[in-house]
Amino acid sequence: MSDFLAAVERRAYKQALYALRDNDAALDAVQDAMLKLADKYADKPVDELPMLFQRILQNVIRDFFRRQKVRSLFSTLFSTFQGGEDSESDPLETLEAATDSNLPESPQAQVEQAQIMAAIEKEIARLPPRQREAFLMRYWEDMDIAETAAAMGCSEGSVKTHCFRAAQTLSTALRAKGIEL
Amino acid sequence: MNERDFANRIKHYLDLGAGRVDSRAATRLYEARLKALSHAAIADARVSLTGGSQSSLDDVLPRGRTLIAVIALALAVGGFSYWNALEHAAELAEVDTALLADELPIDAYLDSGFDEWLKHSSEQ
Repeated sequence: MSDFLAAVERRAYKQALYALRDNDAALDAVQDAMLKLADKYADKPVDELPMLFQRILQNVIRDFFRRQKVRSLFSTLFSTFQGGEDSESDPLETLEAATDSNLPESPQAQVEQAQIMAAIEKEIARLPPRQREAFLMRYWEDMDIAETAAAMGCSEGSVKTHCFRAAQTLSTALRAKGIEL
Repeated sequence: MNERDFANRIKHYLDLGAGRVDSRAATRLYEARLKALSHAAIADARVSLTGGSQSSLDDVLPRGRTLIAVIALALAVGGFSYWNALEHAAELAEVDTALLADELPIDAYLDSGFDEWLKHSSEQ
């Protein structure tokens, strides 16, 4: 369990961040998902943990959106015409580099890499939620189609469709920005 | 480039991004993991306690004692009710026999309740 959580925590945080676009909410979501996994499935075999964890994480993210919907309904009822925070700011753009082990050597290459990375993360965050979930589980978490379908609660055919559309959308959007992978 | 190749290249950049999580987030993730692991340890302990109790004599005995106490109490209550019912039936049978044999004691006729009962039964 410890190794699994250590291996998955950063990717899970990023996944939550792409969906929620809020650092603290993403960290809370990952913590909730970890606690639920530990509470309910501590005795499960290790190979079942990725699917269970992804399912819990996606449910936690959906719960957050539900709560946010209710909260925003109340806030629009009680506080209209108030100047708020800068809603245009994107948390993905504020992430700092914790380690430079993966950075290319020349400064120019470093900048290019960071730009491509930011563009990809931005486009991933823009994908429709189901496409993003399927694509990330399938290709980032290396889950097979059956596991992804089980975690998403949909058919294997739907997973394939979501992945295909996500890849197409990403490819088109990156090409439009002049990024060829 | 097919879907898998494209996805692998995307994955490479996503991995880079995951490696550059800021220190505050990394610390919080580490704390969340420790918290989850302590929960897992508690859950494990709970499972081993409930699972292990079946084989352990020390755990089984108190349950056995409780069960025996409950059974004894139920038997006592049942026995008392049964004995009470038998006593009542015996008293009624005694009165009936005395009535049929015309051997009622004088006390029975002095009892106003008995007198009242006789009146009612003769009216019917």
